[in-house]
This record gives sequence, C-alpha cells and structure tokens, in this order.
Amino acid sequence: MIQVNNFTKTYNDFVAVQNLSFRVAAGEILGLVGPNGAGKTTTLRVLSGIIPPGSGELTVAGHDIIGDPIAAKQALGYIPDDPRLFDTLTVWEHLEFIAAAYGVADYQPTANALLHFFNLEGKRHHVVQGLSRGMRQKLAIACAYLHQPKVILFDEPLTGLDPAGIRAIKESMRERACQGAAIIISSHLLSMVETLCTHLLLLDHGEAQCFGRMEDVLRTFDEAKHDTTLEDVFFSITREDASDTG
Amino acid sequence: MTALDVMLVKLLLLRLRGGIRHRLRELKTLRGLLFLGVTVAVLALLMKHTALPVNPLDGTVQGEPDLLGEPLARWMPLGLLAACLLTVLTAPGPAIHFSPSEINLLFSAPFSRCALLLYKISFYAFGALLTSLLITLLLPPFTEMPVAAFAGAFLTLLFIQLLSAVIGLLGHRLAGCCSLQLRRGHVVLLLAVLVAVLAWYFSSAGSSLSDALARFQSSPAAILLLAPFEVFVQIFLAPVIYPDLLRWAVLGVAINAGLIAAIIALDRSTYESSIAASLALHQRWVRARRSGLLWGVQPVEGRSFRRPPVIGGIGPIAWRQLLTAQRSYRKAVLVFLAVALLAGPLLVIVAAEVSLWSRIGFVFFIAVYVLPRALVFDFRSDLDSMETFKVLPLRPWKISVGQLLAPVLLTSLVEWLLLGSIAMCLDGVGRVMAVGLMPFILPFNGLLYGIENLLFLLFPTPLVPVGRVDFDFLGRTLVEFAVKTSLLIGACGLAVAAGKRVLDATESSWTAFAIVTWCTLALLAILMLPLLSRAFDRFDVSRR
Repeated sequence: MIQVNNFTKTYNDFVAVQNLSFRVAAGEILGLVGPNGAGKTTTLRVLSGIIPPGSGELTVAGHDIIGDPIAAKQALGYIPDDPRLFDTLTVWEHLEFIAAAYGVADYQPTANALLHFFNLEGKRHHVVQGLSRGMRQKLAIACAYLHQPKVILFDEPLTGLDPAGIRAIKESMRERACQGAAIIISSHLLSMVETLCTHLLLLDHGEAQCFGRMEDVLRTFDEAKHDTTLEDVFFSITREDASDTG
Repeated sequence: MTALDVMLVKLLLLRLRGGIRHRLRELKTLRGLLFLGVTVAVLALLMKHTALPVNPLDGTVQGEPDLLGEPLARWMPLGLLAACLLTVLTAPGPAIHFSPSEINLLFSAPFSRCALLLYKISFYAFGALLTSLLITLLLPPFTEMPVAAFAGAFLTLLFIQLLSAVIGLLGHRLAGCCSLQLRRGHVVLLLAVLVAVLAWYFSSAGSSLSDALARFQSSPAAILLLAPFEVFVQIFLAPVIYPDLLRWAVLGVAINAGLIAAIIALDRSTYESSIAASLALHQRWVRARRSGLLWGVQPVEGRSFRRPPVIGGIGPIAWRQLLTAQRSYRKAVLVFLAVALLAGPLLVIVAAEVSLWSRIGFVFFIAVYVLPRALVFDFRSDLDSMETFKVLPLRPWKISVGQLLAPVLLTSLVEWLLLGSIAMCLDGVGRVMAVGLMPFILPFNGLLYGIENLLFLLFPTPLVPVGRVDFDFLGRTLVEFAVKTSLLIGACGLAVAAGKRVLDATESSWTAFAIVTWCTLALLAILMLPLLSRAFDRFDVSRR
C-alpha cells in the first residue's frame, strides 16, 4: 500500500530525511517515532503530496505520488498535527465539501455515522472557529475517513483530545486497519505506539535507525532484560546516536 | 510609582535586538533588498516633495519656515485633538494591549502590574522614537530646528498614545458602572447632542468651515480644551534650544508623566477587562492575517447553500469561497454594492465639473486597487489552509479556477452596478463608454485576480501589516502595486492593439474591434491558469 524507496529531502543545505526506505502493507499500522526534528512530519507531508520529495520513489496504493498524484491522493487520508480547517464553514459543510471534492456519492449516512462516532452531532451546524482544539481534531479525522481511504497518515493524532476521544480514535484506527487500510501514525506517545502499532520505524537525524515488526524490534533489544518497552528501545537508540554525533 | 524592572528593560532590549536581527536577515534576500530599495526611494521622493524649493542659480533656500509654521501653529492643536479622538474611536482593543505571549510569560512572572504597564509604555515609546525620526526627516520646512521637530514629534506621539489610553480606561471604568443597554443609550444620546451642537454651531457661523473652526478655537471653552495641545505645538516651533525648546519640552514631559500616573491609577479597576480585551484583539489580528481582511471580523453563522456542486472538482472550492464571502465579507460586499449603486448620482451631484477621464480614473482605481484588496476570498486568504488544498485529489488548475471564481464574479457584479449607475446619470460619449466597458469587466477581473494570486503564490505573505509600523509591508505593497499596474497596462495595451489591427483591417468595424479586444483579454486571463497552477504546484507550505 505504501512503498518508500531511497527517499531524501533537503532544505537548502539541511538534510531533513536521508535515504529512507520502508513499506506498509494493507492492514498494518506503522508507528513513526523519533526525537523532534527527526524528519517524521516531512515524511508524512511528502507522502501526502503537500511538499515535493527531493529524490526517491514513493507510491501510495500503487500510485506514484509524483507521476500520478491525483490517484494517489484519492486513496489517501491525511490528518496533520494542527488541523487546518476552514474557519467560515460549519462542521457539516466540511463533510459536504470533502464529499464533493473526493466525489463521494451518497455520503450522508457515512457522514452522520462519523459525527455520531466522534460525538459531534450537537455541533453539526456550528462554524468550526468556535470549536475546541479536540473537536477540530475529531472533525479533521472524520473528514479524512469520509472517503474511505486505503492509506491513512496521522501526525500526532491524539493532541488535545479528551480520554473518550482518545479511546474512540484508537478504536477507529484498529477498525480501519482490520478493514484493510494501511496506516502510519507519527507520535511521541511511545506507550500508545507500542500497544497500537504492528510495525515500527524509528527516525533520527533524518535516517531510519530501526524498522520492522514491533515484537521483532522489542525482541532485538530484549537481550539485557525481559519486558523491554518501546521507551527502552527509543532511548537506547537515540542516546547511542547522540553519543556518536556528540 | 514602582520603577520599570531591570529584567523588563533587558527584555525590551532583547526584543529590539531581535527586531533588528530579523530586518538584517531579510536584507540578505533579493526580495528584502528590493523592498528596502523601494521604501528608501519613496521616502526620498517624499523628502524632496516636502523640502523647501531651492534656487537653481545660487542654491539658496526659497521660502520661510515661519511662514509655513504659522498655519501649523493655527491648526495643529485641533489636529491633535482630532487625532486623539480618532485613536480612541478606532482603537479595536484595550487602551494598553498585551499580546498572549506577554500575558502567559510576564503576568505569571514576579513583576508588579505597574512595572508591566511601564514596560508596555516603554515599548510604545520605542515605536514613537522610530516614527519621530521619520517625521524629522520629512518636516524641515515646517520647523526652525530638526532637534525641535524630533522632540516635538516624539513627545506628541507619546502624548496621543497616553491620552487615548487614559480616555479608553476612563471609558472602561464608566462602562463597568452601568448595564450594556444603558451604556448604548448614553453613547447614542451623547452622539446626538454632539451632532446637534455642531450643526447649530456651524449653521450660526454662517460662513466657511475654516471660519467656523477659527471662531470655535477662539472661544473660552476651546482655549481651555486645547491648552495641553498648545504645549506640543510650541515644542515643534521652538526657535532656540534655550529657553524655548527646553521650557516647552519639560512641560510636555510633565504632561506625559501625569498621564502615565493616571493610567496606572485607572488600570487598577480595569485589570480583568483589559486582559480579556487584549486576548480578543489578538484573536482579531489572527483572523485578519488568516483572512486577509484588515478588520478581521468574526465569521457569522448563516444559511448554507444547499450542497456543493461538483463540476469536476471546481464546484466545492468555489462553493466554499462563496460561503466565506457570505459569512466574513457580507457587510463589505453590501457596502460596495450600495456605493456602486449610488456612484452615478453622487458623481453628478458632487463632481459635476469632473472630466470624463477623471471619472474613468476613479473607476480604474476602485477596480484595480480597492476591490481586490477588500474582497479577499481566494488563495490570499488561505495561507493557513494551503495544506488542505494540496492534499485534495484535484488538478491544480481546477483548484485555481475554483479559488478565483467567487471573487471575480462578485467584483464584476459590483463593477457592473457601478458602471450601470454611472451610465444612467450620463449621456452622450460618457454613457456609450460606460456601457461599452461592461462586457470587458469579466475577462479583466479574471486577469486582475490571476495576477494578484500569482504574485501571492510566488511571494506568500499575509495581506495585513504586522503591528503599527510595518515597513516591509509598505515596501511589499508598493512593489506589488507597481508590478500589477505594469502587467495590467501591458495586457490591456496588447488587447487594444489586437483590436486596433482588426479595426484597421475591417475598415472601422467597432464590433470586430470589441470582439477581438475581448477575446484577447479573455485569452490572456485564461493564460494565467497554467502560471497559477505551476505556482500552486511549487508552493512549499513548509517554507511559508
């Protein structure tokens, strides 16, 4: 579903991502972790077609994001860390807009179900400018789900959400993956990534430090002690890296 | 009075250094250099314009500063009073405004409220210092000494700011004492009394406005009211440093110190409302920068159009912009429509002597400079939402058409009404020209908004200035206007030239001329689409 080969992105002299390669198959949830400035958001933005890649091959649902960007975007749902909604539109109008832009016919039942699921029914006719951060986040996710994307990219999806919202979104992610979607979640919440994701990609200084199935990664670092957590793995790798560069 | 905290002084200096560093960094780019060059050129032109004429034969300065100072001495006190009232009436927020970062970081830090107020006033004083330098450069013909001009400008600007703050705080305090309904009633009553008094005064004067104002200035009430303002006029016009300038400047400083003491005393009772107003003002600035709408109104909830039409993906984008126009720009659109309808009768009543070309110039100015900056619901108002558009599965040209459709149609509607209204009130050549221009409005606006958006996508910056003195914004606007005007004149010239060729070839067929000119203009507007698409495609949201 998602295939990235030798992807590199630079800003002037600064290398944001270097020679990154990974793949996410249907039904898999990839946790993308790393310190600030590791290149996580850049990777997601390039995959979603927001910024062009420097070099490399990136395909989404079998479509090259440079050669066939429209088909790639048609199969994609992207939820940025800071949901950019249209201040002058209501909650329902956002769903109507997305349905028209993605050509979703008979969208009302799905849209109603999403509003119900995210507890936004009472806000249906409210202009989004008045919504809280968490509600805006839920609406952004509802918009991304509306066209049933095969690939979903989440950038810090749980920021600003209440406990019920967090549970609902985690549940929805598992559900989408079971239905065959390939999902990438970029997050600093390591415990959430550990319990939710099937695979892990740890980025540091724009380079992949480890990539594989979650249990395989944890097992690799399990030599010293049992019950290794993702947090142990994370600090083990990033500290090593810091001492190398330092 | 608690002194200004040392740490706050340090913060002021750090912010000043940061501002200078930011400006210097911008100068490293071609765009920054270009803007600086244009700003300096405009300043030089203004200085040349305001300088006293020089005799080309012997280089002596013609004219007397005193002669120019006389009208200044006469009208400046009234002007300062008007400036204060205008500042109070048009101020969108609290008398002393703190930004959210100042509220979060400084209010919870161990600083007294008095120290914070002094910090903020010092911040304003820095701004006044910079503006005073500019005024000093532009004012030599009106004053005897540059030092006097600088001191006068600085103390006067500070005085206006402080007096406005005092009036604002007094207003807050009074407002807190009565209910909203009662407050509105008082304001309406006060305004009605003021209008009645002014009407009576001017009608009884029986002569020109300047005579009436002169009579007012010589009345005992006005002498008392304008006395503090006179002090600042005397600083400007002081002929020598000692005793004139020093004496008046000390008095000016004392007045300003008194106002600062009044602000600190009044602020105690308006502390909470001041914080709320500061945050509300910040929200308004955020909205203004997001929407490109200078007055940053809160979008109102309104009726939704039934459902977005698809039209290959163009429909939802245009539908969304029409909703934005309806909710954020409704008042602006209505005002423009009303003004357009009244333009014809007003031109007949007010400017019967105005030539046809001046009227055409007026329409051109409104069409090219006023409307595109007032009706901003296209890419320019979506700087923060570019990510959303980039993710949509739509070709860039479709997004561009969708973004431009609503502003082009609404602007055209305003201009059709404007020309129609003018045509109704004219006859002969004027009417023929007004009616003849109507079909060209649509392709012209397509081209105009295409250029506006292309420049924005190539050099993306918010359309509203940052803070009170944004020289970058000034330079940027001047460059944009120059480029836009050149491109429009070039495109229109090309279209007319194509029409002229057909006119010559068809032995004066004006119909053929109009059709070819229209088609050329429309073609040029359509040619903007690939450019816009390319610019949108290349737009890098991570670098905005």
